[in-house]
Amino acid sequence: MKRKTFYQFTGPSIFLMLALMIFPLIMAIWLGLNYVTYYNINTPVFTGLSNYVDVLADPQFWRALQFTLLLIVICVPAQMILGFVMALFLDQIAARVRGVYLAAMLLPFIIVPVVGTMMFKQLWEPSGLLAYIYQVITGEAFFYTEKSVKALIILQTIWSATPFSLVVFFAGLQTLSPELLEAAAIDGANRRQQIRHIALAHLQPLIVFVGLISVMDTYRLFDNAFVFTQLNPIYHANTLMLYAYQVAMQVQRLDKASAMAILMVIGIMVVLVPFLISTYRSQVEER
Amino acid sequence: MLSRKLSVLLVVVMLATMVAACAAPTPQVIKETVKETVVVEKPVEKIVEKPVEKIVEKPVEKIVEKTVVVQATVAPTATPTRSPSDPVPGTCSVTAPAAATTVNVIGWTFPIMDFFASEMKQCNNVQNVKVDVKLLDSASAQQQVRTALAGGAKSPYAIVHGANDQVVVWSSQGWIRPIDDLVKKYWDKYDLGDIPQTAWDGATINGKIYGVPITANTLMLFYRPDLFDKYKIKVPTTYDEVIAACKVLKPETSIDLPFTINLHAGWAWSYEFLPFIRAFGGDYLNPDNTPAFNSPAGVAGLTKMKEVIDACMGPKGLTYSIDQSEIALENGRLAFAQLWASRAANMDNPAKSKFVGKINFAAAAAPKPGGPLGSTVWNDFYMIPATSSVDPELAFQIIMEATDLQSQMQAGKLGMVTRAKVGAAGVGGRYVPAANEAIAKGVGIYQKVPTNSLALNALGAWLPLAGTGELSPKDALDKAAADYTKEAKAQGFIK
Repeated sequence: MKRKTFYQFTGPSIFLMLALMIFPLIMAIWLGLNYVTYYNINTPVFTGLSNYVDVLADPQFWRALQFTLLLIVICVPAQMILGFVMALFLDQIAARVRGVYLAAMLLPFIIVPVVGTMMFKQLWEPSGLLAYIYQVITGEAFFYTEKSVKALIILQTIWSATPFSLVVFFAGLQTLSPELLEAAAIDGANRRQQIRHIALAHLQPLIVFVGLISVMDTYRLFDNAFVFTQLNPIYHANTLMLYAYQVAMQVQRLDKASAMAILMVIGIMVVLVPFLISTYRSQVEER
Repeated sequence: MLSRKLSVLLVVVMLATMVAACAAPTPQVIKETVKETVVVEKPVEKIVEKPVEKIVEKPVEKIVEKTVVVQATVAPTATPTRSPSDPVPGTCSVTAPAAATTVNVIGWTFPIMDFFASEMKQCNNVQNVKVDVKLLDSASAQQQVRTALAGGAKSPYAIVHGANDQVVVWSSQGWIRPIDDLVKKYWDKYDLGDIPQTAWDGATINGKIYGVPITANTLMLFYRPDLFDKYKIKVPTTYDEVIAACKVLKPETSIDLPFTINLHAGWAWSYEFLPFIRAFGGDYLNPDNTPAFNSPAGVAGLTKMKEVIDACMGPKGLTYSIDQSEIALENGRLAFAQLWASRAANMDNPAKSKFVGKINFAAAAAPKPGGPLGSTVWNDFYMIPATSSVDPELAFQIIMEATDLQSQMQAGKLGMVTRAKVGAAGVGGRYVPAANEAIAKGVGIYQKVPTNSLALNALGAWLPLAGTGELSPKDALDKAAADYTKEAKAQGFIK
């Protein structure tokens, strides 16, 4: 391919990347090195790395990181396992009605996250159906506590993110050759063994992909934590994104929030870069 | 076989989800019903009001006309109509600008502000004027204004809504313009002397007026007299009596909680704490901007709040927002509450309350016996950004048309307005005398210093932990003071 043609094809994407990702990133780096609030936004004061020191010395930042990691540890495996199981079930359904079920299962993914969370939250309000069912079952009225809010955030995150795993795994299963399964069956493999040794092996690259995307998505979780906590500190359920928002918008420290954002980018790069390198290497090997 | 079973299972799950989603009654649904009635009345108002408006003098004309409008709209429509206590939209007669002008307005939503927004939209009938009102929740609206005005570029908004805090901070940054010239010019035309000086004071910073006061608000007690009679409880005048009443009401099974104060979020704590600290002789900040809230008065005030929480609310009560307390009262699930006066009109609205006429009102209780009542005074204002490209005179006229006497007469049905003539005419609900007492005998307005917002943030971050018992009142206040001092120093407010 000629260099000119290459640039003509990639130009629009490069422009969008620069405008929407690189430029804001550079701005965030710059803001993080200055003292900037809403009140001196036109006259920032260079402060070097003091914002980064401030963030790393902030116990609330570490508490938010702790809860974010907890979410990742619980939600990512849960949504992947559920997504895989649902994909297997969907794979068994007759093709003519599959679309209906797929559409139904994708609903949580389609609904705007804030709207979905608010609907879910309303079910737990004093007049909500799930709160009523909870009261009938336990004999006690439901109300928000640190434990219940954290549990609901986890539950809602799994509910809203599982369809992504489902779609990817289901698509992967469609590419699995039936002959392979038949051959395994002839060799005496039962259903569990077929799934373990054939389906899972076939989906392995997708499992890594879904895992990484899910980790990144959960890492930057904001909507449902915001709706459930209303920034009330008694729930101790700040995610990193939520805490960064709080610092920027409530405390009005745009500089510290930017430093936090950069640290978060570095954090996710630690996970992402090895994957990108291994993907690149495997593609080179395939050539 | 598996496919069929799975199909049935999925259909059941889907149906259950849909039923669950539909079964949860929410306050938003009720709000939308009210909005629909406004739409229903629009066509009629245009036909009836326009010809009359030019002939008859304003104050008398509106009252007579609007009675006719209400009667005329009831007959032809089968859709839900507003109750006689609901306000009726007015008209707008600003001077038409020479060129097409879009007037963007931003603010936050509650019944009385929704009405003023609809009044502003009446100005869309004026040639070359397009009024676009964006109403969000309070935090989002303030955030948008900050983001829009902080950089010093042209303001996308011609009119912004703010409360006492925002007037102080936004004026100190030069984000909003003084309007003394416009107030003086239109003083007589819009009878601005009818707005009490105390309300103007809330918008006056360093001798300059930055906003038009449009609402008043205060904290007061809402209570169920039937339960108070049943348990032979007197209406509490102090928080010690509130605590005693809660203990008596504990066995009542028809209620979820005896009493609530709005403490569901950090910001709510920082506002509700002020009456308590003031009642014990303290305040948030010293004149040199150093924190004063971690004083013995602060500790005493917060300790009293904790006593109220333990006796009346418990962990469940700490999750009750203003909306939830209001709904609980309207459904008979709460015996009494400290709530904003702006919520009182809904108690007598049959579309919202199952207990119409059965909720009474009293001035807020005193945190300290013999001290001021536990109520603050709060005003909302319309302000004009300094960098707006819209003619400030046009923006000011639109504000005044939306909040003139006729409008406030109508708005008075929804909450407390600022014009004295509205009260003198007897407009307003049963709650007004109690609200006036709360204002007169309360702890007054918030400190008019820019650092107040930093203090509110710091208090909001730590006081809730005193409510749950995770921190002692003193520790919570000391931690808030440390956070506040760090930020105030970083922002140059403390040397």
